[in-house]
Formats: sequence, structure tokens, C-alpha cells
Amino acid sequence: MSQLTRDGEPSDAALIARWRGGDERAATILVERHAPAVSRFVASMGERGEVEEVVQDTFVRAFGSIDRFREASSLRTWLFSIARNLCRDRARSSRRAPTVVPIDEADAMTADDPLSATVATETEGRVRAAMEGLTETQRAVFTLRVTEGLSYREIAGVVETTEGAARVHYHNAVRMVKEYLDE
Amino acid sequence: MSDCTNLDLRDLLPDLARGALTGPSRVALDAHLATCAACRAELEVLRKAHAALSAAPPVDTARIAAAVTRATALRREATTSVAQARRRRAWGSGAPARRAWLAAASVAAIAAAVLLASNLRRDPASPGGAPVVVQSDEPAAPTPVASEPTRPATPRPIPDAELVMGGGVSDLADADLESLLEVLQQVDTALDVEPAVLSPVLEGDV
Repeated sequence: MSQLTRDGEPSDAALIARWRGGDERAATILVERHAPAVSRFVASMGERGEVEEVVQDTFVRAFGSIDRFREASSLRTWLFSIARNLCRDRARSSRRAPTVVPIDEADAMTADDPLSATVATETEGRVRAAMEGLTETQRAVFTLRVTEGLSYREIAGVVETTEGAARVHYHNAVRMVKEYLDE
Repeated sequence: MSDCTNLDLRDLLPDLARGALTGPSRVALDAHLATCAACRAELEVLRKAHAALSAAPPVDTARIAAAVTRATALRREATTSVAQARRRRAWGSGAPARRAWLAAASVAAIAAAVLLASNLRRDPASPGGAPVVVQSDEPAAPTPVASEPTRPATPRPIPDAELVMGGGVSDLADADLESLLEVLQQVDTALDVEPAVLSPVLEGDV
């Protein structure tokens, strides 16, 4: 197990070991390292307004069961899995899962949307509107492939499917987003 | 426009859109893009998507790290409390051997007391040690008039075999056995309930 990343920083495994040994600073480093990606993923999954809450819950859950993390996958992949489950639970409980019903562009961005500050252009708004038309699984697969660069194998682990099925979900998502943007 | 059928190269498009493709793969894909309009169109979509989705909503990492630390401390505290409670409960109800010994000791003490009392009442002058009935010095209360003549109280020898606490379990009827079993089960259930407040003796014994 490598103790350092290519950048000379402590590896995730080394930080987890330090955390298990009682080093609270290790948790801070891990949060700083992975929170932006988890935040990006949660926002892409359609979570609005409470992105930070979901990200926080993701890390609390992850560290709460860190003893069960066997490092068969990367820590980030595991965090994506937890975040996805949280997003699904929230969508289920609030009955607001926009999984298959496309919404208007105007609805995609609202005044209360905290993403408004970071997503400004019309094209970006259209992309997010197109994402709303994808199923939850397609959205997760598309996001993990395009923005996070995960392999199909890693994606399959996150969305609990096969590698081949992940590839099909990805290509279907690309086609649907492309069709939306071409309209 | 139909999709490109070269899936190997097409699968590299997201990496190129993210600017993460280098080396021979990059060269091969560039060459393919020069001749494949479908992949060029798809690359354009992926670049837009990456630009739109790559901005991460800002989060307070210090607050999240503090929440993680706090939650972990609470979990450890709860785990410790549960373990202590389980040990207490194990002492109170989960130690059948201890309870069996206590019950046996109680029965033995009562039996010893009965035997002792029985021996004390034996007539020392009697060679066989035959027990006698202790007569009171006080006059007996007047008995109601009975049709039969009153017989004098004759001390009856009590054989040792009759010195038992009561009938054996085998003497009980089925219905009595069932009700006894119910009572015992209720006692066991009550013992499994964790007491709200433990006595100092129990706590000190943990």
C-alpha cells in the first residue's frame, strides 16, 4: 500500500490509518480532498439547495463505517456510492425525484438555486435541463464518466450494475443530452 | 447522424473532453476525429456537459470535518455506554449459573433450618429419638361441642421420610405444571429487562 500520492501527499489509505489511530487532522485532509468532487456529483444528481448537507452526511456516514471500508475500491468511489444513496433516499422521501419527467429550462434554474452563482451561461443551463430528463442511473453514470473520469468498472460499482450495463447507460445518456441540446 | 461504431475510441471522448487524454490514445483519437463527424459532435456535447457540471457548489469543509469528528465522538461514547449496559444486564439476568447457585443456596438454607428445628423438638429421653409434640402450658381454648368424644392428642412419630418441603414436581398435575412454567417464564422475562437504576452493589460489582 503506497503511503504517498504522486503529488507527494499522504494517500487516502495512509490518512484512513491515521484517522483510525485517532488523528482528527487526517479527517480534515480527506474532507478537503474529496468534498469538491462529492459536491459536484451531488449537484449533478439534481440536489438543490442542500448540497452541503448531503455532502456532510456522506462524510459522516463514511467515517462512521470506515472500519467496513476494505479498500476494494477507491475512497472517492465509495463516497460517490454513499452520496448517491443519500440523494435517492431524499428524492424518495420528498417525492420530488425528477427522474424521468423533463422540465423546462426556466424551471431548471430558479432564484433559490445556489448553483446560479456558479452556472451562468445559457449553455450550462441547457445542459442541466437536459440532465433532468435522464433517469437517476443515467444521470449518475453520465456525471461520473464525464466530470469525474471514472472507468465503467468503477461506475458499475457505484450504481450497482455491470460494466456493460454502465456503458449502455452512458451512451443512452449521451444520446439524450445531445438530442436535447440539438433541439 | 448515426453513432460511431468504433466504441474503443468513442469511449475515450469523455477523457479528451476533460483534457485528461495523452499519449498514443490521444494521437489515435485525434486521427479518428478528423474523419468521424459523429464523434466530433459527441465531443462537443461532452465538452459542454463538462463545463456545466464541473463547477462544484462551494461547501464548508471545516464544518464538515468538525461534524465528522463530533459524530465519531458521539458514536464512540454510545458504543461504550451500550457495552457497559450489556455487562450490567449480563450480571443481572444473563448469569443463569449465578442465579441457580443462589436458588440452590436458599433451598439448602431453608432445608437446614427445617432439619435443625426438627431435631430440636426430638425427645432426648426417647431412645429412638422419636419426635414429640410440644404441649403448651396454657389451657387449650374451649372446643365447640362435638358429637364425638374428644380423643386425647397422641404424639405420632414422624418418619424422616416425611421431612420434605412439599410434593415433588412430578406430583403436580399438568395444568399446575403449565402455570408454574408460565410463572417461571415471566420471572425470566422480568430479569432480562434492563433496570432503570442499578443498586450501588450491582454497579460496584461490575
